[in-house]
Amino acid sequence: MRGDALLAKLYFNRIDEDLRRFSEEQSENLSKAAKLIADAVLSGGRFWVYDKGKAITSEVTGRAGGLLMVQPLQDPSGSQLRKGDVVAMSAVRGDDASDISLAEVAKTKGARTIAILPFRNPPKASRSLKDIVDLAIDDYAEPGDGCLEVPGHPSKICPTTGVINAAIMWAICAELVDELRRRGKEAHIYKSVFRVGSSEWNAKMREEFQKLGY
Amino acid sequence: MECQDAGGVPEARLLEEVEERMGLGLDYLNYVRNELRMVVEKEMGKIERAAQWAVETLASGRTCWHADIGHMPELEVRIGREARPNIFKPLRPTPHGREVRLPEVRPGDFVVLGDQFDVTEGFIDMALEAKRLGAKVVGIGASMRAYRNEIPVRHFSGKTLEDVVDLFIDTHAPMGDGALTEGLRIGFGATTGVLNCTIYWALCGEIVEGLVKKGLRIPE
Repeated sequence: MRGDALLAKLYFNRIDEDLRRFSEEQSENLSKAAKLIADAVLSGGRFWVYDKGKAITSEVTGRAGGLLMVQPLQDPSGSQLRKGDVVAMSAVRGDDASDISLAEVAKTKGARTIAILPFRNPPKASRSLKDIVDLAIDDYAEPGDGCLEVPGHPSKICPTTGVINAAIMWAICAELVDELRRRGKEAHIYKSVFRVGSSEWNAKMREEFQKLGY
Repeated sequence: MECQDAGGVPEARLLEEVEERMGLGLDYLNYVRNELRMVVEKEMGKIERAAQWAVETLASGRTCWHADIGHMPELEVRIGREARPNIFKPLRPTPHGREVRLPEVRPGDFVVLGDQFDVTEGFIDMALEAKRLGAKVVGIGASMRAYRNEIPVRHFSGKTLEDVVDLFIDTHAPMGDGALTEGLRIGFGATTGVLNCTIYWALCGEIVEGLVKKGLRIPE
């Protein structure tokens, strides 16, 4: 129920509430994801990220303050995947046929799968991505993705999956940095191109990453 | 949590066993939550004002435009996105020699430009051009004023996005998009994408509310 709060503030509150809830209820999923990815990359596998709309993929690959080891999965058929890889997917709904197909292909090829998605599917959904992947993470989004009610408007507006899934994907990567440190390894991190000395730093990181794979 | 580069951390410390504690994953989420609170506390009035300008623009039959430097926001807010209110049209700049032109922007239009920080030359050019055309311009980005030695101004005018727009909404993102620094040689964890998108959707919500209050419909 709305009080006098601005819709803008309600949106901020919703994002904050989802992140608080995730931290309290699913922090162990960060650890599980990080271990899964660390096991893969330290055994010669690759860490892929995929989302159909490419927003999350774009957010965490080739990105200032991000990991060199995160690679964008361009082909939704899964042709780039091989045994020992791990793919972290972000989905705006759990019953998308192409997402489900990609997860199944990944499993067939011997790659591990992580998915961040809404556990609450539309009632008509018969299958869900969460039942197929190795690790499923709930982003708490509502069916239709909108979170703000507007009088006279038929459906809720302003989606949460983009913001929440991106934050969770970053948190997984952060946990991975920690997990690698526990194993005596240092993850390679991009320096923003806007920063002084970024070209030299990023070239050095690329060189080290090529040798080590993480 | 300080928003600064850790600098040179000795290798021995880097490889030390990490104690059983809250991991960096939760540290990152807490960092984002702190930024959200900071934006609500310090920038909400600006978001409200920007929404009022947008409502006035739409009420008078003019157009709202949006562009973002890239990474997540540009794709997240695309036309066709589920639950996206149809408020903004994508701004399509065209090159004109070394300058930029905005052929679709008209006097009285409203333009929102999302930058990662505050120094992207192309976005400063777009802001100047939009203002020249008579549009109201809002910038969303992270002010790096306190870190000019590390993130210098690039535009030939010596100006930042904050300097040239009518209103600048600060995401309060960390220097160089490195939220976490403890025990790291360089900051890790970008927050600009998450914060820019949050502000964009919040702004859209506020605009819709303003339209409804005026008895206007969300544009089809």
